[in-house]
Amino acid sequence: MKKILLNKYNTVAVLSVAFLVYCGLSFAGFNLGMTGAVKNTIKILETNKRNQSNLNIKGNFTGTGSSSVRKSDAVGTIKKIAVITYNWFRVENINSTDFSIPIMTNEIGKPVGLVFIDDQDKVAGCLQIVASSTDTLNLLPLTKVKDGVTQIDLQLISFSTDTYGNIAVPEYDPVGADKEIPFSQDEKILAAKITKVLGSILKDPDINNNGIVDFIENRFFKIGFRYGLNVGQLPAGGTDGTYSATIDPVVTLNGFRIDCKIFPDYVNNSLPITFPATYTWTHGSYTGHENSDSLTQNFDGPGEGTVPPVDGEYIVDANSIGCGTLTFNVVGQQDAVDSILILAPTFHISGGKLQKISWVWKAYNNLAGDPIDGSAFVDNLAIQISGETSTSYNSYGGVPPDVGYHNWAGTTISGSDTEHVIGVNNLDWAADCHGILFRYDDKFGNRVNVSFRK
Amino acid sequence: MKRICCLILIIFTLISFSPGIIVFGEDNKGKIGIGLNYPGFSVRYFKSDRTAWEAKLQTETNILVVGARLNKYSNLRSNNKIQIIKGLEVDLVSFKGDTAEGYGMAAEVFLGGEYSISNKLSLQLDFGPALVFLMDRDYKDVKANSLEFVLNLGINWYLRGK
Repeated sequence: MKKILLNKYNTVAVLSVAFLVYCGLSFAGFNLGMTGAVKNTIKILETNKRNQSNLNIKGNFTGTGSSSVRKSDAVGTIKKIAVITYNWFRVENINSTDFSIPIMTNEIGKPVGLVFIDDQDKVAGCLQIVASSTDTLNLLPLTKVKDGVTQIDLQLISFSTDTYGNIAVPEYDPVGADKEIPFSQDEKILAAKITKVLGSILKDPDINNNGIVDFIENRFFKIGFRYGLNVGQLPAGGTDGTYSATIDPVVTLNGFRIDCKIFPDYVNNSLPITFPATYTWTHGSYTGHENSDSLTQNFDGPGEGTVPPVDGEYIVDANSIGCGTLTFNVVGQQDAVDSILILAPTFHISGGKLQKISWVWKAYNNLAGDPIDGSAFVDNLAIQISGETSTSYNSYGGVPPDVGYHNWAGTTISGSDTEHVIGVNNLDWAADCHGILFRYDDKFGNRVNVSFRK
Repeated sequence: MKRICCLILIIFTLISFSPGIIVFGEDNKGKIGIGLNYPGFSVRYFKSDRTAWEAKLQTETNILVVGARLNKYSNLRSNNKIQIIKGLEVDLVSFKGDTAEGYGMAAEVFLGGEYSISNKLSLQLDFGPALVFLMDRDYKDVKANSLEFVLNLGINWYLRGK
């Protein structure tokens, strides 16, 4: 009995020592469990993330003392901000009425949308600035930011609604010729029109209709359109000189494809897409995926269709991948089509050979207007020249079978470039240049094919 | 701290009902133990009398740590009730912070002791430096390395002893 009691006293003594050691070490700064160490490292990571950003977007919800309201009939504190680009999204938590969002390196150069989410996980509003009497801009076009700008202060954010959903209107508009995002008025309107389809998603981001903001569910459902256009005629040309292409007054649509992406689980899926009932023309000639094309997940459209898509509900059946039925209420489609950027090319010919192509960018609905700054809108450009029966030349070189019979190593062309020197010296204008395709990805997530033929 | 006090209270309660028989002997091989540590649990298996492999999981709000430990046991002054443990721990980490979400790894060398409370139950305390590496899921160039000091407290319940 005495031995058992002694044993227990020993146990108590050991446990007491252990307890004291535990308390001492924890007070000395030791982390309790590995999760404690991870917590500390998360703080370091978040500081690194903030420091790595060259640009912060800030603002507040209180201003002169008004509460952070969602809209007049509902009050909610803003707790999260979803930061959206055309090909990614993230959700930042905020803990006060002031916010400061770091814009990461890979977000600069893209349009960035902000969706404010309240403590009920409802959309308080999507950032919206006025571009014109008929156009609003729902993404900040960080495709062009003035040198040295490290902060954009949107100041007081006011919440309200418009026809398409909840909006968040900043007191300060940073987009303007002499502002942090130095877009001319024409460029600002153009950006507003080009991004209307995405803007409509951001205003009501519950595409799977389950009552929860998609971004909170770690989802971003996006729809876009890819166009192929016949824009005009190549000049007859001559042996020596510079010759400009003729641009048709009316665009001819070669075809389009709907481009539906589901982030972050980006996988190639083949999902059925139902067009709005008002689109009565032939469509659906292709439903599938292109494994080789990183820009496309699901697409559908008339291969040879000549009628552009219309506004309305595009329904994607994503039940097969557990995402339910996705309803995209597309608006501003005609604006997007009208505002497609095209190149107005000039061909430099010497000795009957094409030496160089130079160009300016124009908005299709404003050919007489000033040239558009391609660096603000165009990500990359590829030029493909076809002979009578096959491809004669690619600006990007290419590998078989995607290669011209006048092949070379190739080069990349960016939106800021205004000319391309032909990489071979034997590209005959008369024999090898029957059609030219300019294919570009804009900085707003759209791909456009612009064709000229003789 | 409240949780720690509760844990201690539970241990003391268990002691009062325990016969106080030594857990560790020279024949540990094959023993299996289930551990409750702050903040998670583990399962260990004695591969030999002095070596135990351990799988562990720890979780807190928006943090998950899953890992493995190698525990090397040695006696303290021939007293089998207290064992010195030294070893290595390697973990995989996933996390979601205020402005970052991602994953990473952690590695720790530790030193501590395990005290047998009964023939089935023991208390373990160990500590050591840990290197934690985390990476943002969305921005692969956003990373953090940190040298942290970790303190582990837990109780082990041995299902089977030879």
